[in-house]
Amino acid sequence: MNARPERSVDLLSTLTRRVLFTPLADQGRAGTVAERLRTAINLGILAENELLPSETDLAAQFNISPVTLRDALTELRAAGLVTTRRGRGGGTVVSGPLPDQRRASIEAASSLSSVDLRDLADWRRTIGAESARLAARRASERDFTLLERGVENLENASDAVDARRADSRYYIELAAASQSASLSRASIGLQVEYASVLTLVYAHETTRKSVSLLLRTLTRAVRKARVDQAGRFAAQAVDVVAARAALLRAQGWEIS
Amino acid sequence: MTGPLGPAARRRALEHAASSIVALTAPVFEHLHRMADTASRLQLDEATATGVIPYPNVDLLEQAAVAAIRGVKLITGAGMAAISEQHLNVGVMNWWILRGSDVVSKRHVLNPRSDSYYDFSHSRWFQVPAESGRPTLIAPYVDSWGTDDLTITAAIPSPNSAAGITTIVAADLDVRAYIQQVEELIWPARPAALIDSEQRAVASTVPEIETGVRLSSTDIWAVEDRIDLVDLGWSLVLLTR
Repeated sequence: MNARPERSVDLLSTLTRRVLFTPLADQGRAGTVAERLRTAINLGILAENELLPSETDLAAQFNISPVTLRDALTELRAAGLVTTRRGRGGGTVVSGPLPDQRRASIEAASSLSSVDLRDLADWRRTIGAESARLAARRASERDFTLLERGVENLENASDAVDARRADSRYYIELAAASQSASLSRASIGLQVEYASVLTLVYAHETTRKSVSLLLRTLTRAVRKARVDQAGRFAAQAVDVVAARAALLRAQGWEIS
Repeated sequence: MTGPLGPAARRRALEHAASSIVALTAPVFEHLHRMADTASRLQLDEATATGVIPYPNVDLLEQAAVAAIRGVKLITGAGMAAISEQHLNVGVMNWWILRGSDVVSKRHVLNPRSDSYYDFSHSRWFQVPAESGRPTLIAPYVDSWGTDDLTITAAIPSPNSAAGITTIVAADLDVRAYIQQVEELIWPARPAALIDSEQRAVASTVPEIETGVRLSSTDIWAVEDRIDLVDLGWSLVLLTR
């Protein structure tokens, strides 16, 4: 196959990536950047074989110098998390084998205080419930189908990482069904911020089942345009996860 | 809220708005037909298995997409996606967007294991024209993991797709500019709305009938008269309390 001369390629305009690669507030250091990328890879937000933006674009996005970014990538290469191919058609790609995602999730979640955890749940409840209420008024037939498929994905998830991804995508689809770009942005932000907590919570199969059931009921309420009911079920689903997360935190995130 | 015109004049205003609204997207579909012709000349058997259209074929598509983006102010992005029955988990998608004054290639994440996975084969803009075989205009929707914004997408199936391969060419429209123009066009017929095939408002002159809201969810307003915009699958309606 012929290689195509590489021109300007936009790998950053997807919101999940913009959230992951949010500019660093102060003069970033290689360690901070490497840590952010390491967490995203360990949690499965950046998947195996996923191509990262070019070094120039990524450095500009992080608001760091290309030299600093290269140092961060060197750190990740040494840890076996990325590989870099030089030359035309090259780039930095997320590589396997996948690390212990449960351990990575515990490390990430352990940095959350009880106040952080409460705050994230509050924000998630607000976004989820309002998305559900608006979706009940505005969702299309195709939205219903996507939401139903999302519930099935959560029900059939083979492990905690799959369940976490299915849950996040359900809420993002719900926000999309509300037709609000701002709610969608907030929901995608939460996909990243809450990833470690959700992965740990969904290691518990009973919680997975409880949430699936609630999301199925919520989807039915959206389809039937029951605005208040949809909002209530969305809040309940968030609360089931929040309660489990609080319990896990109290026990040092270690129980399964 | 009633406009200044009588029933006959409102009907005439609605008819005028109908032809103007169809004319808004006519150049978009003209460009899409050209892109579809280009796409139909590409060999996509290998591309739908590998996810890559080899150079220099992709250049032909790029030229057509850039011409569409440069040629029609409403278009913010354009491209092509194809999937084969034999490789449902792969598919190929090439897309170009306007970034500032440049047209750049946008790479969607087509890896199902990624959180950014763009599942185009289940997107409305892909499925509806694939099922109907006709040009389609998808009413405002949030294109998650694509534009991540409220979007209107015009899409047509590419003719002569090889057996077992579905190919759709499409263009994203500037939803805010489109709605603004429609609101201005239907204003003389007020109260009026442009609604999609599911009776959801695309644009209206009535503040409480926001974009996306189903007409049936409002108890106050009823449809007094309507003109079906057959090519778009949408309708223009005169409303009454």
